[in-house]
Amino acid sequence: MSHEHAFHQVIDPTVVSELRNDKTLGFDLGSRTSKAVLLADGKLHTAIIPTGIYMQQTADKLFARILKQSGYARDQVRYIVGTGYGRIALSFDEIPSKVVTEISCHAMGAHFLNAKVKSIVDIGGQDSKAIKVDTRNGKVVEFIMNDKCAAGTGRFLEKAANLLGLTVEELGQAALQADKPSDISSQCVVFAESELISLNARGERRENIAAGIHLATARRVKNLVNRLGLEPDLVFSGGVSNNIGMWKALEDLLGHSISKVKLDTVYAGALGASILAQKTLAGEEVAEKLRPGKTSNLAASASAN
Amino acid sequence: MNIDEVITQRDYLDYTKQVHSYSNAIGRLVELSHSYITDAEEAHKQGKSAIWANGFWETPLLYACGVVPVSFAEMGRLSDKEAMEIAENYYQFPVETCSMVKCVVGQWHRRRGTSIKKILGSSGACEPFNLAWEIMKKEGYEVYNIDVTYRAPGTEGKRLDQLIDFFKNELYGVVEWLTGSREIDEVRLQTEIRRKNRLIHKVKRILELRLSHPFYLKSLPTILLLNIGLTNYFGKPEEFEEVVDELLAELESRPVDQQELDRVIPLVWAGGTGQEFGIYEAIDQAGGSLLGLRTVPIKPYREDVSPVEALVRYLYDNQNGGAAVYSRQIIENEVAKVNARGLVLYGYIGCSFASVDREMWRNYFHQKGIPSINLEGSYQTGAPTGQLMTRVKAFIEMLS
Repeated sequence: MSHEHAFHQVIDPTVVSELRNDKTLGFDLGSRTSKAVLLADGKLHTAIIPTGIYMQQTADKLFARILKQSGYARDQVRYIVGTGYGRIALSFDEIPSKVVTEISCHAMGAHFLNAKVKSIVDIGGQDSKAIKVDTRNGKVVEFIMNDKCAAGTGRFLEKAANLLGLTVEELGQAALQADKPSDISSQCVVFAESELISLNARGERRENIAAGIHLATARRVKNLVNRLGLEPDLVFSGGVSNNIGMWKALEDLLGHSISKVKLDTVYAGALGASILAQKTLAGEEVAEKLRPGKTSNLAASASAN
Repeated sequence: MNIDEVITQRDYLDYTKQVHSYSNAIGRLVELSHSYITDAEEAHKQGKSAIWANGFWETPLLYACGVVPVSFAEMGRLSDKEAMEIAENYYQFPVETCSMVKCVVGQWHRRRGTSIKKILGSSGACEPFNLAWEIMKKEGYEVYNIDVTYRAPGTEGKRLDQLIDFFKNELYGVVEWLTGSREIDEVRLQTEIRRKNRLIHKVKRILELRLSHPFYLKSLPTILLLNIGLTNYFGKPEEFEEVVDELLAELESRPVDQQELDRVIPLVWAGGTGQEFGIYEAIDQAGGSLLGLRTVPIKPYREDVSPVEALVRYLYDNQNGGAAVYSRQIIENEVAKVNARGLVLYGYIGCSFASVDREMWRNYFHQKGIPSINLEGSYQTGAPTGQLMTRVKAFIEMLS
């Protein structure tokens, strides 16, 4: 897959004119993979690497990767927005930056990929979210987040794939070959693991187990989605979004199709971050919210009085 | 101190004091919180009468009996991981039990035979707390548990009179337990009620002034002012009132900054206030301000009836306690008063009562177009989880 796209190739034509020439970078440091999107001179560049233990090192590595791919120099980047669970640790001495939550970034990113999008299902490595989006501006209207249990997240799918001796990608493909999806009843990832072992021991087809796993995960997500009453156009984003088995299970359970966009939606968060960086430069967003460790203006002014 | 260095809840207090270095009154308020439990225990060692109490409507009665109410919830709030582990491992509390109760139990365990011995409980508390008091009896604590009756919506006339008589009798029982006699010094009680009313009036004025100065008194000290300050006075009534007066003077003399008013995102906080001080910090840093709180004092104590009846009436007339439907009215008033853009619904993990309330409120306010966020957090020490912080920040970004 190409790492470089002209804006008009991937961005929704109704909003593409809102993008500027400013060179901005969005980092989405997820629990499993870290993504970057660089917007520069009418083009969108992407990079992805596994998330390491140290977030700053991961960000620096990702930064170097995307600069190498795009041919730009570090000092040409005018603003950075960091998002994802590793966002807090980010720091870029010479480049202005801020952090924004992945919820706002996914909404903005999805909006620019499909301006009609009203709803997002975002399944990442350690949580899943349902987000309602304002079609006028890509801002979040409402959201809900499941982080209580690993079931319903990418981590569960990884664990299940391991138990079946498959990669996550193979697990998704296998699910499409199922003739009778297994009934995975447990709502708890720990007990679900026992069920998988039992099903395996009984000689159940791996394809059926794989489909059962995706349906079990999708059921949890469906309940989350139902709470917000999501409606089409619906975009599926996050690290699990390119799992074809999960895609099918969600469509089956939700009863309507998921909108396809022209960019791999694992980049939706990083794209949204990069767009928010452009908006910040344009003064449409607050340049810098108070970051940990900094003294508030109020404190400074009041103590001076 | 940098926010990155904050590890414990006590660190948060130090950090808060530093952030508010422009205000002598807020610094003193934080100090009162910091020293509350240790000073009360020390005073008890020196011969001052003190008891562990919830500290709400009964505070004037306790002070009138010459007894310092020491909030066991506050002891738990400034707790540590070991207290929680004592509850889970020594007393075998299930992990899913309310972390607030576990922290308190762990702290009482540590203090067996070395600190304040009396605990005033009430049936108005949740079942895990009632269980905790039973356990503490076996650990040598002297527990006195009173029945706090509930006034259902619409209860008036003869039924209300019966409730009042019943509860008066319970109060005389408390006095007998504390002093050995059922005699109540009504003059002293009246004085304490007047003190309380005076403080309620002053704190309400501070909350009104916060609408014009939303970032002066940030979230954590506001909660300290209301939850422990106004309920128990941190065990030091005169000193607390001095701090309140000083804070009032600071706010009254401060010019209004229009820029602050333009950028503030007014929020209402409904539900418990746990130990996760980092959430308040996240709200402040994101530009939010908790201008409305469910725990605001609604009504003063009546001064046109006998002081004992005033205590009883306060409980029955004040809609701050009891059913979710009462609390909802308070929240609704707060939303209107501060022109709130959002509602933060917070409860402790394992508190099934609060989770039902929050869900009811969420639906109600959602229908009225007030967005809300439903947070579940822990009472135990340490920083909030990353996901919890993400929710808080995303919510405020959404409202920006």
